[in-house]
Amino acid sequence: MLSFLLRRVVMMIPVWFAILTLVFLMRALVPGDPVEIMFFGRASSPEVVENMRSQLGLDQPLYRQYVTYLGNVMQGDLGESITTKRPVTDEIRDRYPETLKLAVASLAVSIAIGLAAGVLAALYKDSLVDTLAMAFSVAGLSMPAFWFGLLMIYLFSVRLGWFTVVPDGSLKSLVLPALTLGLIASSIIARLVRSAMLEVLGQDYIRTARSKGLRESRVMSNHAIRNALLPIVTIVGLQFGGLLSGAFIIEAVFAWHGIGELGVQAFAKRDFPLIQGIVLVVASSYVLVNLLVDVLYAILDPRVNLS
Amino acid sequence: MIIAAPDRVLSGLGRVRGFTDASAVTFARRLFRYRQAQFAGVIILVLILAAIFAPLIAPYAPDAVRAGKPLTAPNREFLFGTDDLGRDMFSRMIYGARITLWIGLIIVAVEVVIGVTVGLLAGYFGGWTDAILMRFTDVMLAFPGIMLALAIVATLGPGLTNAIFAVALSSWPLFARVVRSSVLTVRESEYMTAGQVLGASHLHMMWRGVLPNVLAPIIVLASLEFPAAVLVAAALSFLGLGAQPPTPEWGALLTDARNYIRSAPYLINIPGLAIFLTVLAFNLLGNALRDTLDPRLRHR
Repeated sequence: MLSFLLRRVVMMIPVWFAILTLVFLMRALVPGDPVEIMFFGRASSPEVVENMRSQLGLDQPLYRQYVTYLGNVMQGDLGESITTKRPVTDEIRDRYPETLKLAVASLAVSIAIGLAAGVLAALYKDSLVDTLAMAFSVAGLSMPAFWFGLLMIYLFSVRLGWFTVVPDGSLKSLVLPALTLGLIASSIIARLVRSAMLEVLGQDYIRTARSKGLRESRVMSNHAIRNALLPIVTIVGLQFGGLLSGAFIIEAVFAWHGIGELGVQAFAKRDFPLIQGIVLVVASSYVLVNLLVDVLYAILDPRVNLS
Repeated sequence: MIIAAPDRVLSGLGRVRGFTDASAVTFARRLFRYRQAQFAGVIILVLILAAIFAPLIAPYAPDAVRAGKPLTAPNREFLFGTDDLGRDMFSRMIYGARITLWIGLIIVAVEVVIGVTVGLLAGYFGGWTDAILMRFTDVMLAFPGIMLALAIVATLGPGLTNAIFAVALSSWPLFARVVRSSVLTVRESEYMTAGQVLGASHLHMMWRGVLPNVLAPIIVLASLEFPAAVLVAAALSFLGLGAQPPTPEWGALLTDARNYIRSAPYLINIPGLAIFLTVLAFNLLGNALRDTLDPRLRHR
């Protein structure tokens, strides 16, 4: 197990370096002069531009910039935000827990609803339940998250007055954004759970369990769902990454002070150090979650060859 | 005659796959057997007609300020009401349909060109070409969802054209993956060996031998990527990084309308519903296409 874990971590390193390189290249590949762009072409004097350029190390050749960048990132230094003048790591540290809160809550919603809908649809295949669950699934897949969020605000905050329009960071204000993001994610989970369940239900051991005379509920809980759980873990892991990036839209809609909202502001203001920091952190989180999923998969499924 | 011979061998065997042998009419009949395809077809037809005949249908110019009293709720004169500047929402929506369809088409076209080229090269040549191209593809896929598109548009700067390229540049890896795996199966077939023996060039083999045989998954993926592209582009516009006002792009319409969620909720719900129905229609059409063209993909 330990060697399996180690090998997976080692395999992750080149991917992470590639991400790091792409993130570095983001600024290098900006068409035109990045410093001019940061000032939106309205710098007060050429000296200011020169100052900024040397401050960001942009007067150095590209490979030197790359080496410096790698060195800084390794030491946990992501530079300084141009707009707020604070270290990028501080900015992200303030916001990251909020996004994590939202992502975890949404994940809980999406698993609960997606699992229930998917299992029911598979159990009653081709029935009304199945049709409804799959209609829900394709509707969720087609739903623009930003409109759905605004619809939730309109319905539950403006019309019914159950929630405040602007979140105050309390647990209650987490409900609407988590529900919005979770419902959309559950539509994909439901579809994949359904096909995973149908696959398992067609297996020999289910027929064996049934012919042994086991109660249907026991066949489901001990034989079917347990086996269908394996592909579901992978799906849910991948969804978590989707939730992290989905947070960019949802946080903008709900004014949720997470990393997504910070990101959208940074994107609009072209605050490159901050943008690079956020992209790096979110992509790294995604890689890390995928690693956890792989490990979890190996623990759950004794058939996975660890060597 | 050596040039012509592999041609005939390759394209002759290309007809084995489901849809090349069916004429357009039989194909359409098979496709529209699905009720979801009928529903989708109607919505898409309306959209296309609205887009083509926008100047004839729209009662006002899309950016005509004070066409009516600002923030008028939908009524008989202003079917969809007016926005905060008194612009006719119906006219703006009609012109928006044009933009939305163009966005989807261009994004998918760029994705197909890049993704299919990469996938073809990787699958056909294998070895180092494959390893390098696919590792790069994997790294692109390591960025979750809309994140990469956001990063690219931040690099290029906000604007509709940049947003279109950002979405396309972030989603082609899917095509590369699918095409590559299809190419791998085609590569082993006997007509490829035959083509090789007859001395066809690599380009010829890829264009006439491989591509026609991997067309089905490309069409299916393209039809499912179209709605995804529309959705992401609308999201970028909503975030202020895509289409800029006064462009009547549907996602951008929602941004302006947010402030009027209390007084004029129709300003949010009309473009929102339009995006939803459009994406839904193309998703349903994509599903039906997939089931018609390649039943083996049904459970993906």
